[in-house]
Amino acid sequence: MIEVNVTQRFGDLLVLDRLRFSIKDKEFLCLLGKSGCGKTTVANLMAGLIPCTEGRVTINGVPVDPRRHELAFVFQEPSLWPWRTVRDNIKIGLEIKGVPRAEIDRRIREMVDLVGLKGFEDYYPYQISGGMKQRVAIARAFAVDADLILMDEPFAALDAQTRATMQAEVLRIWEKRTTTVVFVTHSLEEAVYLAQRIIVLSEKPASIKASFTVDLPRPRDFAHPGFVALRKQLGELVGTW
Amino acid sequence: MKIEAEVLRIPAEPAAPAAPRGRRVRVVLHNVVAALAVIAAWQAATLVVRSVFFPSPWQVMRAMVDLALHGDVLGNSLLTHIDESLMRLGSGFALGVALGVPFGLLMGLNKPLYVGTRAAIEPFRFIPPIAWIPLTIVLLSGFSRYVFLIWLGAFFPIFVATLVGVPRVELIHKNVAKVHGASRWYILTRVVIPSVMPDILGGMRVGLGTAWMTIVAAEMTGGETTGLGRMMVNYAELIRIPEIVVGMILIGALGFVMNEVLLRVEKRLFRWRWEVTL
Repeated sequence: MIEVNVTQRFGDLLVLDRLRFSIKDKEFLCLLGKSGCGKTTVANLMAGLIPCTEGRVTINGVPVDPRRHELAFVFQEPSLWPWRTVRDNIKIGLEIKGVPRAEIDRRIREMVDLVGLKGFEDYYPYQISGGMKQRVAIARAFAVDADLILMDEPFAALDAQTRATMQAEVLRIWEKRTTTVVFVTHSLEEAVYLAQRIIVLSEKPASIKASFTVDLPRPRDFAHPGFVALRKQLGELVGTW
Repeated sequence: MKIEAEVLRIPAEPAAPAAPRGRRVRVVLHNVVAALAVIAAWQAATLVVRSVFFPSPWQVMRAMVDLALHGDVLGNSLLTHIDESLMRLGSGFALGVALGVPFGLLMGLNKPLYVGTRAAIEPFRFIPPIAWIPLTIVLLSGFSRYVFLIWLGAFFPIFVATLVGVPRVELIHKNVAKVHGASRWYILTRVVIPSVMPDILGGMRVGLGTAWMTIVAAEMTGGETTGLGRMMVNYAELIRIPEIVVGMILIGALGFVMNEVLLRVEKRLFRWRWEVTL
């Protein structure tokens, strides 16, 4: 169980106003909000990358701490270390946590298979496409037994087709690895396609505008009446963006 | 529309191929031809000018062979001169790297430290190493003087390159490590140092140039009888121009070889980069 209860200011700018929600274990939660509403700030707070102005984020009652918890983050921007091969990028989290070598090798093999990068283990990031890079970033996140994986608009920079494939893949991997995922997005379709639960954030200062449980059958069909109805409802709630 | 969880395979380029053998041979050939062309032009010029103060390539070659076989007027062989210069250069340069990189990292990582001390450090950068020679003639002697001067010449390019490289390390690369709970040491050794390595190597190549400049100047003024700079001055006093040119050519050739070695190291180290600096 992860509990978020934070207020965040940057100087005079109030970014998050008493934002409060919780996430169940193994849940796939989407945070939906307009760009610039503070979504990334929420993700950074949850990863312990920036300190909270007020309040805190806890995992099973313990304030979030990257050294005590297993966290992982898939960034929107390219985040692979260009001086490391695909294999060595995937192992970063395992290496930091001091996982034994044999176990690291086993996990790398598993993740490379899972994200379909077999044969590309020794490639450097500049040698592979944008979609493949993001796949490596996902493999890196799922390689650790994370208490929480944060994904901050990980597919925003990808073309529509690659994006659709990657969404399906993330679900497939999540179902296999059953990890708690918080997925930040501004895309209504993406949220409805992926989430078990969607939290809609208001504009800055961000607070919760609405929350939806999505129980459409998987794999979800964009033309399913339930899908269309929910998407429409979200669209009316947030206006056009 | 139904989306299947299928694997999208995007063909990637093959891992950076080494230049084909044929092209490498051609590059070497081009360079040999270019070098021969310079020598030919020199030879042609000596045929036109015809002066005792303008030696021909042939005379210089003979002087070089003579120096190599019989040594100079003081009995020091050519190899001794080269050896001495290289030893001094190598020691001073190694010291420049050994101090320039850690200091650059330290100051780059602790901005307040650098900001608070820059007025005490930066002015030294603008005193050319050659301007230190008079002082070192008085205070130091022999090997220590040369090493100090070369260190001065090599230190600042390496220090400054490292210093300005550190703030340019991508925050996101550090955050990747931080999210997993990495220590400061891990971030320093696995993120910061690999990120600034290209800057460090660039600084080393600049520093190597300064180091050569400094050693030759220092040897010309110093008291020892050996070193390429000293040898050139000895022959200048005798107005023996071919031998002076031998010294010049050797300095150029040695600098070139050392730079090539650094470039090779760069190429190997930075296979992960799209382009390698020239």
